[in-house]
This record gives sequence, structure tokens and C-alpha cells, in this order.
Amino acid sequence: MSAYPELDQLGLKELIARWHQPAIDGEAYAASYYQEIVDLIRQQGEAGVKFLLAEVPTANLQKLAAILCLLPPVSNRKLINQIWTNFLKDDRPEIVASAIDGLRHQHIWQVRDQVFALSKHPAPCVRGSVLRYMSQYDPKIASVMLVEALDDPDYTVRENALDELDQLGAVEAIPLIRSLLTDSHPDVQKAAETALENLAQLKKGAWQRKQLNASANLA
Amino acid sequence: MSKQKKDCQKAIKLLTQYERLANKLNSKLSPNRIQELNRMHDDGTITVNDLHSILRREFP
Repeated sequence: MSAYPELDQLGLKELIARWHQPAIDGEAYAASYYQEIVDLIRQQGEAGVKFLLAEVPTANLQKLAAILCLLPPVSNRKLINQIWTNFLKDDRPEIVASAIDGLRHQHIWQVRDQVFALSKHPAPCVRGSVLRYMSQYDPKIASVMLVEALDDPDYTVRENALDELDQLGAVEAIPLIRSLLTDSHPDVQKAAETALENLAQLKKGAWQRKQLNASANLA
Repeated sequence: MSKQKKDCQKAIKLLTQYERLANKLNSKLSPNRIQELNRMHDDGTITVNDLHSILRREFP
């Protein structure tokens, strides 16, 4: 069962019909609904991918963001690179953020300089997607950015930075992460709490391995 | 750092903090969808297939 079980058994034709209808849970949840439909349509194979690419020029904000984020990866990397990179200059933050996530899913790293240049973008959703992209592309460069982002004025950016530091296993950031346990936003507090638990486990595991190796060398 | 350990930690995070992580990725789920995920989480039956597509894509 998926998050939208009512869509699970639908074929391409029915999914396309749903794509053209209003979101079933209402406009407030349209982003997640169209993202799910994009994922199901791409699973239908080449015909589904072709349909979604054809929708790009005319899709509204929610639908275009869903395509940009969840259509990749596809076999035609060159096409994704060309189309998606153009959307990095879009004036709608949701579109820029989704294009960055799509480029990350497609593992297109040659546009890293253009993505990095968006790290001070006024929209928090863009700054968050830049952190996710850079974290996956180059953990060393990203770790500096992630530590800086812990002081970002927007909570979603701080939250992204914490989740990425956790993912990178950045045990050296533990003291900085600890200070966010009392952040003003509960989601940041939760991300900090989880990161600290996970990083402490990693640190303990590394210490135990070191002790075992030392014992083995003595024996 | 063990990659397997990191992957396990990420999987657990996705299967327990789906609401927060979906919101972070601009994918707000309706209260009914969240309620159903909470039920499966509490039952201990939740799997990657139950998650929203944006979280399935992040699953290790």
C-alpha cells in the first residue's frame, strides 16, 4: 500500500486522468498529491516519462514542481541536464528548489557551481535544497556550509542542515548540534535530537572498533 | 563510519519521522494520511512502500 492507496492499481490512462483533476485532499495538499502521481506515472515506463516531459511547458506551479523533483532519474541524462538547469534561473522558489532536487536525483554534478551560487537565495526552500545537493555531491565542501546553516534565520534551513550533518556522520559537529536542542521550532529540536543520537552511536561504534583492533594487535 | 549503520539510521528516521521530513521537502500530507501512517507506525507494520513518494526516493 502507498501513501495514496486509491491510486495504487491505476494504469497510465487513469493516472493521466487523475493528473488533470483537482487534488483529492484539497488544494492545501496538492503538492504531495501531484508528486505521488508523477512517481506512479514514471513507473509506467517510457510512455509515462514522455507524457510528463510533454507537460513541462504548460504545467502549473504544483505540477511542474512535482515533475522537476520526482521525474528523475531517467535514461536521457542530457535532456534532464538541459531542461532542469534552465529552471535554476526561474523566479519561483518552489520551481528552483524542485529543479535542484531533481538534478540531485539524476546525479548531475556538473552544474554544482550554479547550484552553489544559490546558497544565499532569499527563499528558505531553495537554500535547503542547495544543502541537500551539496551534501550528496561533496561532503567536505558541504560540511562547512552545513555548519554555517545551523545559524540560518529560517527553521527549515536549520532542520535541513541538521539532517544532512547526521547523514554525513559529522561527529565533530556534535557540540554545535547540541545547542539546537532548545531551538524555537520543534522540528529543529527533533532533528537535533535524532542527529545527536545517531552521531553518538557512530562515535561509540568507532571507539569500540579501535579498542578491538588494539586488543587484536596486543594478542 | 559504517555505511550500513548510516543506512539503517536513515531508514529508521524515514519510517518514524515521516511527517516532519515530508513537510521539510515541501510535501505536506493531509491529516487523514498522517493518521493512517501513525496507525501503521504504532502497529509496527509500516514499510517503505507506505511512505510518500518523496520519502521513498530518499530511502537508502
